[in-house]
Amino acid sequence: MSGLFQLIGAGARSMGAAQLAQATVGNNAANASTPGYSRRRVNLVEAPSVKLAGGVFGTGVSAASVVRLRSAFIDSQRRADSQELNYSQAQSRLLDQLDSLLGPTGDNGLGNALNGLFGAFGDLASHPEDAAARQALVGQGQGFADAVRQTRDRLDRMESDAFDTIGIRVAEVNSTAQRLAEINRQTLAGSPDPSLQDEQDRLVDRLGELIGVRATTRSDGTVQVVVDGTGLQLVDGAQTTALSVTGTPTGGTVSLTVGGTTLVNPRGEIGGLAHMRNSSVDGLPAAINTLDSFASGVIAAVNRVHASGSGLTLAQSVTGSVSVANPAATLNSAGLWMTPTSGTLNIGVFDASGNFVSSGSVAVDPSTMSLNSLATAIGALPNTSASVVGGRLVISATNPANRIAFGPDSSDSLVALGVNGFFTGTDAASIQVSSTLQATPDLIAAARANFNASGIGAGDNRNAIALAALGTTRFLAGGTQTPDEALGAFGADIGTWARSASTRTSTQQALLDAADAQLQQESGVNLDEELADMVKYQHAYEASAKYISTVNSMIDSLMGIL
Amino acid sequence: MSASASLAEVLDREADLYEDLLRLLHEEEAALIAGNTRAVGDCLARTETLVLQLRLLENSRETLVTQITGRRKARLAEVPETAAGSLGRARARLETTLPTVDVMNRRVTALLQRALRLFDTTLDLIRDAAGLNHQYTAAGALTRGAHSVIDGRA
Repeated sequence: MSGLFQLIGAGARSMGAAQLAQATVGNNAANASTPGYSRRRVNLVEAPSVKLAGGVFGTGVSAASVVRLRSAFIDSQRRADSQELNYSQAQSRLLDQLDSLLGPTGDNGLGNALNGLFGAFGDLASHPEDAAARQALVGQGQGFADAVRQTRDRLDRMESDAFDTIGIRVAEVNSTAQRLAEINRQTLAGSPDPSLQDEQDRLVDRLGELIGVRATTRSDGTVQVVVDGTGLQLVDGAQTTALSVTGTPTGGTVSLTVGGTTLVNPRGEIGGLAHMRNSSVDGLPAAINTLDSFASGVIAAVNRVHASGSGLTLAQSVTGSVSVANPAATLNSAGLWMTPTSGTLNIGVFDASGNFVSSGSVAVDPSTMSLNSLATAIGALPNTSASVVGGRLVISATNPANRIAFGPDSSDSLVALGVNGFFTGTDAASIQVSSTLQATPDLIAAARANFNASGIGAGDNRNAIALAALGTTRFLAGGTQTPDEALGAFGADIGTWARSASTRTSTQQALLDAADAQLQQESGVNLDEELADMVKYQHAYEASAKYISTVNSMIDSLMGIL
Repeated sequence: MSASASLAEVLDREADLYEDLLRLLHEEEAALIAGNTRAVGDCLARTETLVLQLRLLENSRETLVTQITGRRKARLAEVPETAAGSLGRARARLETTLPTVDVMNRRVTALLQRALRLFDTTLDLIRDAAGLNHQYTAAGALTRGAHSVIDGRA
């Protein structure tokens, strides 16, 4: 009798299988546009045959399982391409900003300001006694300093934004990992669910985009995720290990750790941002270092010339703009932004009418001389006094009616200590036109004092000519580049980085598109194909429904003999 | 057991199954009206089972009628009644049940045909939206095929 029941159940089994298949087709069609949805198929298997008196009878088909059509190989390839694309895109976005700021295609605000500065030095050389030319120089100098500082500020903000974005993405990695662990837990608790498996894939894809991962699906259906290129587990079953970021918004380096172990070369968007945040070769620190070097070089060169010159009027007392923390330390170990060299510093004293009073020189040895001893040596010069106030060197004429003038300084002590400089500050973040010169443009040193009876000649423009000549002098990059060339090389470097990142992004995009196409072929929903399946199952449905008409004929037959 | 008694038993079982079928048809009617395709599918599967069982009983009945009367298509009235009158009772049950089943079966058939027409229409819509009406451009992109236009009318 059991054979008979099996035979009777054949139709019912087949109908159930056909219905499940039809529902699956409908689900595929409905999710044709759902991102991450994997096409599903019902595995139909032949039900066991039964032996009856009349022979062996088939018992139809039954649905063994609903499976997702997904290739682990293509998934893995796609994730690798996706994480590299996100790595390149993160860099490319920042480099495009840098390029628009400093690159050859940018607005060249810095270059224009630089040209304005040296043009104004040229104007001063032409009209050394013209107050308007002096005022214009102050304006152009401040314009240049502002442009440098603003550029540096933009770079600092880019560093800060990159740091903030890394923090946000790290939080997303951790929440995504926790969600994946939760799905692993659900998977362990029940039978494999295609929807949960799709969600697993979507979450692993996202982790790959964010940090670069490799995923392994275990036989129990759970997914283990490790950071690509490391053995560090983010997700293992229902357990997660947190990704952490340490560092400061600007300056220093950003470090990423998983369970206390530092990631060396993370990929994905976070890796790209971290590279930009940390790299001193083609990242933001490289741009900041180059800008700082450029600014420091210009400050040093301009101040070196300016410090040895004299203005239309002279000051009774001059205070350096650079302070040292320990005035007793030797100059080469005092932490100065540039170290003085062994050389001679010349200082003269003039009366209020510009008549020469006296002069003297100090031999500077930065390896033995401290700021305090330098002040003492200067104070020993005739009619001159010197002191250290708040870590800064103050040089004055002993007689309050007299004035101080500076001559050649082969030791660079005046530049290092910020004495009689055109600029104050030491790098791109701090560059300013001296507030003293802003208040009194007549102090701008267009002339050079003669430490003899001839004093300061009327219309002397020797120092202004020297300042203007800096615009075409190769004093940057070890004496190989003019300021304009240095800015051009800086912009070209950034343009190269940006183009390189853009090319990498395009290549990765093409690879990802190819992987996506393969994935779509494997897992995507083809509506034409689904339609064909639907028709097939419709026919099965109709065939089964014909049992209804069979009932009619049987009733007719029975009624006929009653 | 005599052949007539066996026939009465077969007719009794047929009457049982037709009563089951009647209940099932009521369920199916409700499911069709509610549009519950899962329930309809379940009813169809159970109908299929009942039909198979009825077909087996029909074969048994025809064999017994042939054995008793010598003719396969003989009317039941020609079969001698059993001593217990079970054949008449079974016939009476069938005469009561079958017309009701017949009416119900036709109603469900009508509803089912209408559901299948809806199914066909839905498939047509999908075909139109995503299937055969799509064409590929020279560049390989999939595009919606345009309807033929004659004298400005589709």
